[in-house]
Amino acid sequence: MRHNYKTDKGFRSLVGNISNRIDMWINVSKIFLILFAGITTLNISCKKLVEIPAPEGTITTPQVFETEAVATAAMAGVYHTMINANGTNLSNGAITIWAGTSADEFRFFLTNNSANNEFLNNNLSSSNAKLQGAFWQNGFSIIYGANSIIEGLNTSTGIRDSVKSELIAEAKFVRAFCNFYLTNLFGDIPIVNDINWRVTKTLSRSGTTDVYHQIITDLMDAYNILPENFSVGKGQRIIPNKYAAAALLARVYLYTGDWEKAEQAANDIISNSTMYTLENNLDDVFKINSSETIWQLQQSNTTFPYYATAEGYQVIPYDATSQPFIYLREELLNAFEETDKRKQQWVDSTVYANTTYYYPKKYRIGEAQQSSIGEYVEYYMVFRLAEQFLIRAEAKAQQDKLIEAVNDINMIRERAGLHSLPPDQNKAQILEAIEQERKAEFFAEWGHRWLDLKRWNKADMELGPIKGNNWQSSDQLYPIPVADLLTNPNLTQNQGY
Amino acid sequence: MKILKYCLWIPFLYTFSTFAQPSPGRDITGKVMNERGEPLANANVSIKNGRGTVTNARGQFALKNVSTNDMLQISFVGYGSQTVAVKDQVVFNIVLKPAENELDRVVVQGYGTTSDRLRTGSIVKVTSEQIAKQPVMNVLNVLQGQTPGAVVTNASGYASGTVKIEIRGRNTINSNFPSEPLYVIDGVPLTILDVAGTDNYNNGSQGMIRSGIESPAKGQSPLFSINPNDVESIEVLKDADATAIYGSRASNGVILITTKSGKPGKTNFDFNFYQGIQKITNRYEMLNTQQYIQMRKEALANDGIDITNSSAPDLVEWDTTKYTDWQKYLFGNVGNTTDFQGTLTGGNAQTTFRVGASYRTQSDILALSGANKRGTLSFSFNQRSLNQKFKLSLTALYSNTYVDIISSPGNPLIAPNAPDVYDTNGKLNYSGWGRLQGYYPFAQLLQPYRANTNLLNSSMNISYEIIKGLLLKTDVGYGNSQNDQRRFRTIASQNPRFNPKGQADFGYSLFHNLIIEPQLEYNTFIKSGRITVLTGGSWQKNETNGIIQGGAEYMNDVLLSSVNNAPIQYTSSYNGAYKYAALFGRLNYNLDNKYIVNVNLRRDGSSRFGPGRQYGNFGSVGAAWIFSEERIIKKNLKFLNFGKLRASYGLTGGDQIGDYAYLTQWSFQGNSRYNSINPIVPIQHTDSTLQWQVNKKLEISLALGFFNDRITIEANWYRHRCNNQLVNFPLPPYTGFSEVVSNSPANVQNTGIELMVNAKIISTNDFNWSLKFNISQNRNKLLSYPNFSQSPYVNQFTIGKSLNIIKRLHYIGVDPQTGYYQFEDLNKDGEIKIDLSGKTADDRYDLDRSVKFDGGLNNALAYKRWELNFLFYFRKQIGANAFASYNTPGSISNISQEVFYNHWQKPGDIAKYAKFTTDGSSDPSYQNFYTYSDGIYTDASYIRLKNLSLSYTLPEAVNKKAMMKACRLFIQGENLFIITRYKGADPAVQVFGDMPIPKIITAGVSFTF
Repeated sequence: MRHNYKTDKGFRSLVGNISNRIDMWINVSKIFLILFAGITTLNISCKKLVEIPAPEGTITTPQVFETEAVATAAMAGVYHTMINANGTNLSNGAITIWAGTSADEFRFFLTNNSANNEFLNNNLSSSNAKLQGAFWQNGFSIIYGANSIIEGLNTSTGIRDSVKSELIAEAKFVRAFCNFYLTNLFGDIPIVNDINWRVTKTLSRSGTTDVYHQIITDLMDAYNILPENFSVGKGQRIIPNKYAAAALLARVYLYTGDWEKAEQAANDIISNSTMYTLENNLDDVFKINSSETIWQLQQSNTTFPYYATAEGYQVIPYDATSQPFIYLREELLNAFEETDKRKQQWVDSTVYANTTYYYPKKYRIGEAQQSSIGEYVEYYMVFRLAEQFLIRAEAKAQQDKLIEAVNDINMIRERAGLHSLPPDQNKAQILEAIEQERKAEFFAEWGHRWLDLKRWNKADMELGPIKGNNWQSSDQLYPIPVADLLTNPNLTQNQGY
Repeated sequence: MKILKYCLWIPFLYTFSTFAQPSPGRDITGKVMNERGEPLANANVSIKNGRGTVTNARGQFALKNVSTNDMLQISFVGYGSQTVAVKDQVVFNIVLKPAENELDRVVVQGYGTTSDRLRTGSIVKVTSEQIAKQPVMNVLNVLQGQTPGAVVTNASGYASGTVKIEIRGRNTINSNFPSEPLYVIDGVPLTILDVAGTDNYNNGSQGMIRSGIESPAKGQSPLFSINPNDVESIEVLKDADATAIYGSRASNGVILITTKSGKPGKTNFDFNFYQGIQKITNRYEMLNTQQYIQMRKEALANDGIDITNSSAPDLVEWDTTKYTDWQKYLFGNVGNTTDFQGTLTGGNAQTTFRVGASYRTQSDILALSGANKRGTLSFSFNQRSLNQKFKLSLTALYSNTYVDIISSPGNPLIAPNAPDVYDTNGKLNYSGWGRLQGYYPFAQLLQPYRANTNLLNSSMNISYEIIKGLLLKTDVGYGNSQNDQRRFRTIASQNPRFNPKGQADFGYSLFHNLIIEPQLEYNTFIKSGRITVLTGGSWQKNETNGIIQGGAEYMNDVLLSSVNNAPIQYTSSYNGAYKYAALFGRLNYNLDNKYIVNVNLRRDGSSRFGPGRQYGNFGSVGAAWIFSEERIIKKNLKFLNFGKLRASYGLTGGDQIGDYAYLTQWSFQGNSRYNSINPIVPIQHTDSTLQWQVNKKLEISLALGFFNDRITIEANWYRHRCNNQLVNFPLPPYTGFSEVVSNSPANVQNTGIELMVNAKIISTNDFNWSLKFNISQNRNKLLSYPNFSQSPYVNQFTIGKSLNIIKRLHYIGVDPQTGYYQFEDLNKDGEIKIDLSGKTADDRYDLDRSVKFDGGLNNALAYKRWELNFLFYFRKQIGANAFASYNTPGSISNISQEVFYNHWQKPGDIAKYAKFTTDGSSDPSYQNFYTYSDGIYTDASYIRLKNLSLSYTLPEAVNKKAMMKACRLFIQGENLFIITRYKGADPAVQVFGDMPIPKIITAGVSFTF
């Protein structure tokens, strides 16, 4: 019995033990499993826990294109990027200074900046910071802004069609403008018409023909829609209108050898003399809303350098005994005719350590003149009427309308206080006169000289002798910046780099 | 979930197979306490080789059917275990003593504690004793050389500067995100959002400073605000097992900082004071004026340039006999350190407290500036209910720091004959520098920077025992900081010639952290195995705000103190919000202290990802086998008293990116106007499919203890793989922006070994000598990258090689004929060509800049009342050499003697450095040498006497006379010397000319009343 009892008890405790342990394990497992079952179904209930309010300091893309006011502010942002960027960039002075130095216009006063020397000596490296930042990246970030607006407006519903199409036309104009300079500086470039980086990150470079095709398409769209007057800029000439598109079209046709269309486009502007006339006094050409202005960019007067343009701030020495930033090369100084008022009124000098340095003074507000208080004297000139005369002259000369061409040249010469050219000149003489006039009229302005030498195929001839061994014909194109080569294996480098 | 199920089944089956045994015994009860009579809850009480139980909140236990032959084993983390024969006893009063053995001391882990013996994860601990030996201002500097696997680097020589810590190698493929571990102070994560976008991999986090105003110290470390004397321990958590409980934020490892709390007993007042100096450790050997002029003349002659006012104003306009030791001028200051500490501790069985206060000032070696002040208050309070079921603890740290520094003005590269810094009127001597006044480098002297910071870190823990073994706990933490910066660009600091105006920036950085973590923990015994189940939730909210207010065009320096006086005012702000929610669980099963399994699971949600992608699952499994507990080992290997093999594997995540990265955004451009409109511009590319980064961590470790733990060895091998990592993915800039925050498909692997050896070499009553040695080595490798040839990294990295590789020309020496640098023509096309796109060029020579290995050796000697401790830190690495000053040797810039005495002078010379020239662009080899070749790298390995401390404790008799309990005198030194072949001031500061890390020597006294 006792034995049985014991066995029985042992058996019971055995069963008890088993069931206790099973219970215990089940309990433990339950706690663990229930909690984790809860966790896995938490997706929905927990969303609130990690919801944060929309960012405070910024606004999201849908908000931007909800209202006309904000969409217009986005377009203002594109112009802001063009003109107010830190220091001098693609569209507020860098082309003038650095591309001008690549040509035969300037030297840098300080000789120890290797990034600058690379421009001077036409020895650009693909890692040159100025090239990468101010030219390439700035140009494409403006294009990105324009593309964002085109894309945002195309899908927005809250904005009137008239406003929408006008803003899109502005954006296309700006895109064409940047593509024009990028292709003239770098040759073949990727055509970026999309803001989606997954689409654009492996683009190849397109040939210049395709780039020009894109530019003309954009400009025609802009030309057809932009208003004729300056209403968007509230009377100021700071928002591109139809004639701004025509001005760039005229230049594009000229560069691509489409003489007839170049003539037409230039004519379109010149013939509108109620809006556009040459200023008689050279001192007034670069002032705000001068009658010669087709398009100016307005620097912000509330941020440094306030009422000064970035270029004026950079180029004008502090006073008559201060170091200049750049100075005119002998070749350019000597190119002016004896009585050329442009040399008298658009060039000034500073004497530093007994040496006289000449610097461009188309703009008058520099470091010493700039102030946070005052009013606008000058904006940054992008397109002006004088160029259209010389475009028309060249286009006409190429079409053998020689007498008319001379007349156009003389418009510019007379204003500069020079004698008129006689009408009986042959085509070669006229083209030479145009070269001289462009050199003198557009020195220190948007790298005209650099672009002209290249398109005339005169770079080797003119720059070879003065740049010595540093010059190679392949230097006419700047190298594609290394950051892009590193990140897009489909990009190729230009010859000679 | 699968893994979890298996883990639940293993012990379950085990119980079935072995439970059958006779149990003719009695029921026993007992209580487990510590020496101070405090009950120990959740202590293990088990019958040897049999069942067990845990104690309740009052330390009580009960076991049924215990045989008189049974042995009771009682253990508790942090205490030595005890074995008691049951015999006839029915009621047991067990008193456990704190562990003397290092293996059984408490190690803090995520949401709990463990010990070195029982942990299944990789955790290194630094104790308050180790911290107390180092007179550093930032407690993170103590980690260097003492925590294998964590590489500690100071971002600058300033005391307030940030400290970059990288645990087990670089995970990220690009350099825009810092590799910061997660810092947790008393359970409160130190989260500061990078709202101004100023953090990066190389310099690490900017810490407290979020206004966007740059600090001369490259940021301000948040730990600079913590008093090292308040820290009880720092634990560095490295592997998956230790870190997975922190889920998504643990991919770069975790650093737990635990502050001190009170102990029951008599009330003690401790007072500690020390005073010390800081000095430059090593100096650069630069040219004197005579040598400098020789160099300049030689360079001008080489270039065929006549010496004129315009070609060499330093030789014509400047006094060529003048000499200034610029290093002495700049870094020659002897900084002062003064440190006071007072703490009051005490309490009884119910209540304990600790109150501490400290004040410290430290000035830098940078002449004319550099004051750092810190005042702290700390408070800790613990309360238990009478029945011990309810416990409450509160801790709070509050500190105020003040930093008054300037950027290092110029550096030792200034020509030794340069004119004076000040003119005769005491003004900055711009005009005296003549033609070179554009290079006058001392404007910074009058451009002060000040930062005032308050930091609060507080936490509250409540726990309640619902039934025996089941605890409900809640941790609530709150942290907050305000940083107030001022930076002035005074008119006096600028060249008066240009009619300068003043500028002032006022920056405010604020952050708030709130965290709430309810938890449920259950402890019980299953068979002879103890099981602990922890589940909990975590919810955190952070707000970080940075504001910059500035004024420009000030007419007068006295007006600078307020932005109201500025004609032009500007302001901008950065705001960030971050929310984070998680559920976590841990299951730990410990069978006979022999087999331990630990499972962690965590589900995390983060606001940093777009809708639908906010949640991710993470987890780990760790197991340890303490094989020294096996009978066969105990019998046959008596000298081996401890042996543990452990392994862990798991997934941790990362969301260390900026906030709102998935959202396309536009920003206003301050007060800019275009056409009277306030313009907005797009600010970033976005990736709407952003998701968690996942790190897979595997570790195997062996720990051994010999001769009663006189020698202990731990060796770890790990392999961490980081996939799907969040990076600032580089894009060609023509796409609009040069990067996008995205998940990169790169798979990066870090493998490494860590070895720690501790030995008590001599251990007698009068004399003790113990030694701690550690070394660690990490190998970084880009394991795979799908479609690599189309990736932006194809020219930068190589699959199978380290991410710290840079591709360079291979330097092969100076051409004896021309004196120019020469490089290997790698592609044998007859010319040296650099094409950074890597398609055809010679610049493809791999150079790995990773730290090869590093470690520390600590010796502690004690003789009677004397204690001597010294810590060596060593590191094997390469670094930029003495040439790397960038300025071409021969230009208007001083150079090191190393270059001067080893440069090429005439054809036939076999030289280390090229001929002198005034124009580095005169021959491409100069630029190539500096920028594109391996020639500027040299061995920068070093051994540093990181710390030395000597102390003497006064005898009891003296104390009694002075009414003290204890008194100790000490001398401590930091960074005392370096052994290195590196030609520079400090191989740790490889930017030639930067302020080196100073040495600190202090002496002090500490009293206990």
